[in-house]
Amino acid sequence: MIEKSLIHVGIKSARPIGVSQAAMDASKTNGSSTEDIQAKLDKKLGPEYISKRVGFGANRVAYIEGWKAINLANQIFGYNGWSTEVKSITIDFMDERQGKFCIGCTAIIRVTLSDGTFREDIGYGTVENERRKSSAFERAKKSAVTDALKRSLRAFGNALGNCLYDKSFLAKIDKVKFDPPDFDEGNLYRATDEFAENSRAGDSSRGAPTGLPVGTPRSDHEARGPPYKRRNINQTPNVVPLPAPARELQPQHAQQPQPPSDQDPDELLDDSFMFSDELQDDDIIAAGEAQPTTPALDRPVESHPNPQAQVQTPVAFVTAKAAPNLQNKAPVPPGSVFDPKFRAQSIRHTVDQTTSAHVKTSVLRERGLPNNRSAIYNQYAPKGKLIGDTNTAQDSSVPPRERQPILPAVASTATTTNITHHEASAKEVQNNGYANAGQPNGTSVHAGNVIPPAVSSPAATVRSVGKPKAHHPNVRNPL
Amino acid sequence: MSAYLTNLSYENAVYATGAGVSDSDVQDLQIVENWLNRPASEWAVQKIGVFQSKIEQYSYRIYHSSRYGKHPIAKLIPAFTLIQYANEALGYDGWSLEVTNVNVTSCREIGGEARAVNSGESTVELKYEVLTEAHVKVVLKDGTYTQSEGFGKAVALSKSDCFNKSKKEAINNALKKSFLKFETMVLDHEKKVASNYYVDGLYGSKQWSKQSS
Repeated sequence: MIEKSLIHVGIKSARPIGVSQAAMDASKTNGSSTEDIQAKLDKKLGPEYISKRVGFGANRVAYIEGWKAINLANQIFGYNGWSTEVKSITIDFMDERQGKFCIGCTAIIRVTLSDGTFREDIGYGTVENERRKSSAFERAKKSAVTDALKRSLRAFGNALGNCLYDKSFLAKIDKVKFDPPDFDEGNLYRATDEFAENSRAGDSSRGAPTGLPVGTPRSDHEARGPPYKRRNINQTPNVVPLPAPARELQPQHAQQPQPPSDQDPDELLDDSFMFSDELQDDDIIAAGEAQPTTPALDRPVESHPNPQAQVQTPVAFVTAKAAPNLQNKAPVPPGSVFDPKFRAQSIRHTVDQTTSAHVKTSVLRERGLPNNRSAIYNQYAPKGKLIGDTNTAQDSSVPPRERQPILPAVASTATTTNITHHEASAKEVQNNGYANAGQPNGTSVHAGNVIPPAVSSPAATVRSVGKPKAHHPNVRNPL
Repeated sequence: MSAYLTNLSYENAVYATGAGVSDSDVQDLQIVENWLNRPASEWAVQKIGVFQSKIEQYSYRIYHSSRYGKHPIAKLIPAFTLIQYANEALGYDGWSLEVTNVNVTSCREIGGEARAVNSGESTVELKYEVLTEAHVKVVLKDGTYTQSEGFGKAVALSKSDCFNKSKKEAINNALKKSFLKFETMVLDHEKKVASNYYVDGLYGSKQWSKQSS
């Protein structure tokens, strides 16, 4: 009896010595990898590894699936860095109820690392109402072993599941995990949006702030007048950096009957990020100075104050991922170039998407839509003196030649002369390509239920009632 | 070290004694180094110090908030925290955990009898109570180890839940206790070294310090 107990003690206590030697050897051979493993183990699990199930009561229990734990152990220790050993399997009970069996099974498992470190833990598996005894035992044993394996692995660190016991961590990871039910990646506010917004609100003197000028150095542009004149979306399916000689000279006049290159007229005057009333001070001054001092009405509209030829560089928006490609003059994959002409199939467009213009109240009234302003005003008796109708609402996409006959009529009303003068000068600006704010990017900025404006018939007698169109506060009177 | 050089290992050797040798005689031979509750190296003393400081940092918050009375620290600190501290202080390869014994001491039905009589049904829900005791050993990589016994008790409707919960509770309990034993181990060790308690020539004894110096 004495001998037997002695031997028992001897084996038990002999083990750690051997383990320690093995551990020392392993740390000698790959000392750096233990640090790697330690660093990996200290990290907590990401939400992709954590599963949830309904536990006892209504609370949810976080757990890691067995195969994920095994994968993690393989990643962390290496496929030959760890081994498992089933130390014992105990059948706790086996009940028979009406010919069906319930089995509860405990497994003790040891997970040993290559350096001899090991962890042991128990796992429990149970099977209820199984017809055959052997299959009941099989399944109970299997789940017990999986449970024990997970529990012994978790003792190695956070990355193998120890963090799942931390309630505060689980509360945080819950928030990380949660996604809205219908998650639309395209419908997110992204950092790139913010970038575009900043650059629009900030300096517009930098020239195509959000777009990267493809292929040409910046300094080339600087002396060539207001930057948004140059802004030009080149709609090549994949933007390849062009060599410098490929740059083309391209005058930017809206009155040009045909665009000189093979580009669409919309593209020429694209100001996706600039609305027509966002003209900068100095640009408008420059525009005003370039005009003769005669009133805008007498001035031939065809005269161009800034007949500078513009250097056309293909400008496009690319994703941040493709930006290094661009900088390294490597071809940019077509998927990462922003397509300003993209039209979502799911959106029904009721308004011409290629240009940005008011939806005229007159159009609304013609269609008998209840929302037009004059209908509202009709409810009240007119107060004060009535001023004559002015044709202030001009479609900016109308060629100025066609618009010319209306202009005298505009000027005829004495009260609004000043305003219309500004209108005219502003239109002059527009004609010069400043602010013909096209909306080529397909997203509807107008309300969905409006009717497309009658672009083709600008000379029709359009009556706009209501306040005279307020002009930009920064616009100075050239007179 | 000899095993490393010569590939000769005594690790699995079985030492047996004949009828004429008594138990105490064999222990005098010191066949096997026994590092139960005794630090086997300077590394163990240092790392256990780090480990202990982490535990005290945790318990400080609890002891100094007036919400709790004085409870044993084993009750207050969850096992996963101890495991985390052990991994941080000793390294993942610095310690091993061994379950030496799990024993269900009792499994009985409670509260079932009276209800069965009252309702007259045989399928009345019975509650089960399972008591478990578990023995756990925490071994550091230099051979230092502690052993502890833990108990678990669970009462539940389903037998499997009972077994599951009480067994895991027992192991958790034992694990916590054996981790927390390291503190007293180091404190005792200092006293024993000061009073020349160890005479076997191993770490902590006077002979060992002479050899190493």
